[in-house]
Amino acid sequence: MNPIPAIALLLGTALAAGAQSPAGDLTPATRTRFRDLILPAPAEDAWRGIPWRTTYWEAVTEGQRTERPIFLWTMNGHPLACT
Amino acid sequence: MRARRSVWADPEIQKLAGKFIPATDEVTMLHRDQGAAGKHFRLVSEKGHYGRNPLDWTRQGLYCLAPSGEFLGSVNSTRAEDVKAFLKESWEAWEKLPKGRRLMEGAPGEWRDRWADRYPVDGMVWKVTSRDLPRANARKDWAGHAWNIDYAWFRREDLARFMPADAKAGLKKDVDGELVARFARCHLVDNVRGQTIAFPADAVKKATMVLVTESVKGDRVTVRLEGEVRLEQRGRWAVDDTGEREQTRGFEGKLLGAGVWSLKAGTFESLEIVAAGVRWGATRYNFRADDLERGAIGYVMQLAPDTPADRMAPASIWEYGW
Repeated sequence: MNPIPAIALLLGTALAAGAQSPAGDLTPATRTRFRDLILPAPAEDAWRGIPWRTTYWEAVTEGQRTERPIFLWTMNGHPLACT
Repeated sequence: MRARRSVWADPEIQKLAGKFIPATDEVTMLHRDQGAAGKHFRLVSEKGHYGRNPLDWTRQGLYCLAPSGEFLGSVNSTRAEDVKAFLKESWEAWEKLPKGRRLMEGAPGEWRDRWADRYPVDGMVWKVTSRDLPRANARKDWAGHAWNIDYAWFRREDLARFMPADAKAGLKKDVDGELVARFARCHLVDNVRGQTIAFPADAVKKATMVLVTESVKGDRVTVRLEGEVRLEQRGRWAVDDTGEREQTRGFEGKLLGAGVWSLKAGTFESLEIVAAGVRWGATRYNFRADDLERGAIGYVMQLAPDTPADRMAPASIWEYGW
């Protein structure tokens, strides 16, 4: 099976012969099905259930105030956005 | 990005993380920061897993620390078992740390989030999710399931570039070309597996978006958006550790969206746009060196809620010229 029919199968649409891109299958009728293929499932999004502070210094300041330790996740690119 | 799925969804890790104040930040700017935050972070990072590396190398990873700057532990792993062990050991280190060494002397210094004052409070923010669309030769490991997030920011004055003030049914309007081009080259990028960079301005071969007003009921205008984008960059750059070579990268696809515009508020009440097309090529850190051929990719743009976690600056904000 080549990649384009794989998408067609999921979308339940027919494809133009020789199509190279899924763009032709993006229509008002299929838009929400494309959306559902792209957005993370609840299990994939579970990491957002941790109440992450969004900057290091916010957490350090809070830790100083509440006498609690800090756990930092830091990446090239902000972990809560594009990393 | 891999860790979002492999580590943080684990209930035991979520529970362990809850013992600490969980924090995130961008490492390059933090590590180079010359203010209170950077100085404090380097107290910790230089005792951690990358602490012996040259100062201009990354310090990315996971760290536990006391507010005083005392190092409790560190690791750079996307394996849940490693992270569990690291959190448990760090908690033990905290419990053993004498109380007199837990807090800094005096109040924390002043420090401002680098981009907080640019957040468009009265404008519009899109959460942009990207993912490969299904294909037969998809990788079976993490890369085959990868997805990523970015945020696109629009200022209040940008909103009028989407919709004229006197909107009426049957209107067909080209969204401002400069705005669409900026969005396309900064956000329709291949960040699915990891970080990449915006396309340069001359890579924008086509970037159009047409807004069609379908109906007007009182204050609310129902709209449809349609667009086409073609981006292509050619040049010489590295896509892995083997050095620079002639490369090409690009995206070609279509956008389709729907929303409701409030005439009273002068902004969208709801909006969702889907983009689908093909990408090709790679950049240095987006883990595509093994996947340079054309492959199907999709994006979803949705209005972002105004929560602290959704106030992240666009990955290529410096390309905005703000």
